[in-house]
Amino acid sequence: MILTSGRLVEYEGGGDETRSNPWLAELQQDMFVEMNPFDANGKNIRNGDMVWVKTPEGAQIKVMAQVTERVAKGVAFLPFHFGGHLEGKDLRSKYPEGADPYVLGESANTAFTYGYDSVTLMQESKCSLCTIERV
Amino acid sequence: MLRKKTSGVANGPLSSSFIGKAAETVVDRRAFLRGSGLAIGGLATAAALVGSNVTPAQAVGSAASVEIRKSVCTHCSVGCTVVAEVQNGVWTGQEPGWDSPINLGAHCAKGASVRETASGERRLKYPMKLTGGKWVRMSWDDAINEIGDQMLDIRKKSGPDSVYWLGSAKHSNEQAYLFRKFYAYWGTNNGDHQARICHSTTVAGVANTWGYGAMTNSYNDMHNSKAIFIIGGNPAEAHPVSLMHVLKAKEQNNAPVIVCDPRFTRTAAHADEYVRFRPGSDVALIWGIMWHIFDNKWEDKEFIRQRVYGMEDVMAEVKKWDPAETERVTGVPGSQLKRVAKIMANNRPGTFVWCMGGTQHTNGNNNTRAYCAFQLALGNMGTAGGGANIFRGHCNVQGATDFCVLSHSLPGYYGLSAGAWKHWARVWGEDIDWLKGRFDSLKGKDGKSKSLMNMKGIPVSRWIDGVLEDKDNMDQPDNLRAMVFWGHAPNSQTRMKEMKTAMEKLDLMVVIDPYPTVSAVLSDRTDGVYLLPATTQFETYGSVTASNRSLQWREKIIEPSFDSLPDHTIIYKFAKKFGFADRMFRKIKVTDDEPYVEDVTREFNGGMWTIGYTGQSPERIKAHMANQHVFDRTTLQANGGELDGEYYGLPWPCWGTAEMGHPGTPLLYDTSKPVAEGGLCFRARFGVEHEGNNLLAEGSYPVGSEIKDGYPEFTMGMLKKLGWDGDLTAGERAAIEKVAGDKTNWKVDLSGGIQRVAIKHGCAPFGNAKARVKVWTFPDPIPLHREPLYTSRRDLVADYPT
Repeated sequence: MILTSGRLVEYEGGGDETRSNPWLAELQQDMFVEMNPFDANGKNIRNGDMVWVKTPEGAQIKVMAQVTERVAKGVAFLPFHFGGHLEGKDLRSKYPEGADPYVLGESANTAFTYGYDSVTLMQESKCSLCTIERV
Repeated sequence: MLRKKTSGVANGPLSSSFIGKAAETVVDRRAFLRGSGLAIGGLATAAALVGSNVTPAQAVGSAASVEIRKSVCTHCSVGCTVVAEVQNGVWTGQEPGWDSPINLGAHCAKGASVRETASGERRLKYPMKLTGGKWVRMSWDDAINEIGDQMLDIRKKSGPDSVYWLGSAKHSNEQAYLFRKFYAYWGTNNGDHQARICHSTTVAGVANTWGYGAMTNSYNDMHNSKAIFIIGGNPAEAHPVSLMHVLKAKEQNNAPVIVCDPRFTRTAAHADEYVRFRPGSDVALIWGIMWHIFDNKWEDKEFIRQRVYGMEDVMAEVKKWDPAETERVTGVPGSQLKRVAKIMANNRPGTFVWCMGGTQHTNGNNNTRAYCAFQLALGNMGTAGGGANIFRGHCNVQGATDFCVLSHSLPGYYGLSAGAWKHWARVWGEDIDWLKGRFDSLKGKDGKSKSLMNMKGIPVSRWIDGVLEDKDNMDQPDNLRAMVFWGHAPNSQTRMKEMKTAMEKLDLMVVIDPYPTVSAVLSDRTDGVYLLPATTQFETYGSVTASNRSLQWREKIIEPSFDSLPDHTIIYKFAKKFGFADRMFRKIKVTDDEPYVEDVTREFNGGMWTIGYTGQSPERIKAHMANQHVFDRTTLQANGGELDGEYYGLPWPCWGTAEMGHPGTPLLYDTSKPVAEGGLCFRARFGVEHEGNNLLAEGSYPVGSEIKDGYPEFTMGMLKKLGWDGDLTAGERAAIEKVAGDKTNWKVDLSGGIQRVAIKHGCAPFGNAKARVKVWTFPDPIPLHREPLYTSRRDLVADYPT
């Protein structure tokens, strides 16, 4: 499947500030992947299931499935403000005490791959590939 | 994730430990706050967050003790004014800025909750270091000394380029400028920031098309648009307040909204025409729409003749993108694209908006230039309601880019040439040879020694490779050994697993931020990581540049929380430790290690001639902030009063010195106004001819220009030829003579005399040229569709190689 990414209204950038803000954290509590019902049904994935998103360079992230027609068949979308989980592992205990954000989650960019613009060395974070399976 | 709540219940499992306790039953707002130990004071805050213009009755009695301070939201680049209520030094209430012409009393969820960003309890509170896997609190003095000693040791053994200074789009303008100057004094170009991975392809693509790499119009100017075309952008979520301006055009002008995006976003939900296309096929899509424009001869031929170079070559490329081929590559049917082309042709001027969906691609520079070609073909540039409205992402990513917290340029896009260094050394009052001595050099293939001062540093997108790559393959003596993450989220970068490996290989990691960030936890290091608490922008003051190039001034709302310090103070402390503080701050007053911000503004005013950051003195920016109510909400122009005629925030270029009183340039390249009143033409940046063809404008010029045709950029010699040098004052003439006599270019004239005189005669200092849709210095002079590196359509790779 094609993997793409984008923003959410509640968070900004890497999300460290906004995920540490209880008013915003309350509104988006889980990192997720959007996938089309056609693809989800084919893999027996239901809305809210935990899934692995696996990439061609060998990384994988564990996120919640959001089954929606917002994305087309064959396209998966990740929001990119999450952090603090790495390949299924919760890193909360590694933060200084009392300074851990309320909400942690897998970073979309763990799943994004090599690739740069020829002029500016901009990274490619809007178009890669992945497979998705139930945990 | 986005879910509908039923009776206040957020369904679904909750993964983080602190919410977990409450999650077994239901989570509503109160349960959530209880679970987080935040119930106390929660209701008071909730009352303050209700966006209301009504002062609560009980506030009357205590009104005397409430101080009002104005700042600007620190999230996206729209630049919404935040009005803070402060009592006894505590930020107690918050209102959106009702007088701000930008947000008009509106806020999004993030803006409405910024008080918590500054006063939040999850802040990084003290300097800390990781010792044996544990975070240990320390003092600022100890932290600066320990880090400084290790860096000096690395500098001695591996050279200055082994320390990487990764800055931020959250710095104020003054902090960004000081940060850029700081790593120049340290002796490296290994510094960069977030913009590299946001809009670098825009800045490069757009600047190489018509001169400046920024949003050409403004959010407010979209009120004049007859059509709105959005591609690879989701402003409803990423720039929510900007959508207010889009919807005004939609309602008032009946302007159709076209949204092109692989995902049906919240923005797409407002669209009259939603175009779903395959990720990574932007160029094919744009050429596919333009195929219909050229096929029906809907292009603006006179505009192209006067102001565009290379359109025939674009036409030849577009010819290949007939409806069948476009559908094969993008997945969009020709009938829909014909409709889109017709809407854009029949509703001029139309504006064109793009964001990360267009830029963050291996083919990014081609995407952005295809977008520009689209607007140029329709004649939508340099006009109210038209333009390339590039929405930037962070509160000061425009400013930090302009001050070139980048690995390839000095402030103001002067580049890294010997001339650029000379210019800034003059501004700084610095001995150029001393600066040269700070940098390492390398032996080139020809056996000659080359200073790294004039070579590009490592961009942030590749710092990982700077650590992991064999040092023999690098253009510097040794690998990166220390990383400073100063207001940077590492999870905004791809390849995070490799990043983790790189972090573990470093000798030293320093994180400077109001929050610990993912940098604090990603790696498995147990030692050699320092966390230094920076203030938020609400605990300090200075200027910030919104996406539309307007500068706004933030007041300090509260004193720094806990042990946090503002970025400019931390920069000073490091400069002092490294022994160059007296040189670096020779023109800037410093009290208790805190540089005086207004002095910093004035210093950059003295050097930023290229893009006109010279007229915005601190006094002028503050006057605009204090008088927001006098500015028109569509044109941004002040209507009456002392600021009459000026544009809100003096959008750059604000030519000349502050005394010259230029009003700012609200719309780039708009020839319907004199340059002195904010008009412009396309910049003459690429020479006067290419392959025998004229690159200067033909018969197009800003109103009031005494040269009624195209002309190159100004020099002292050109002034003399025109017989205008007599208008220079004696002081200006002496300053110009000192730089390079007749060869002195307008960009390096520290007196501003050349541009003052050019503008007096109705001319743009940077010349008057055509925009070019053919960038012969780039790998693909005419933008081409190229398949993504990881493509789902391998059948297309042969035709459109990556």
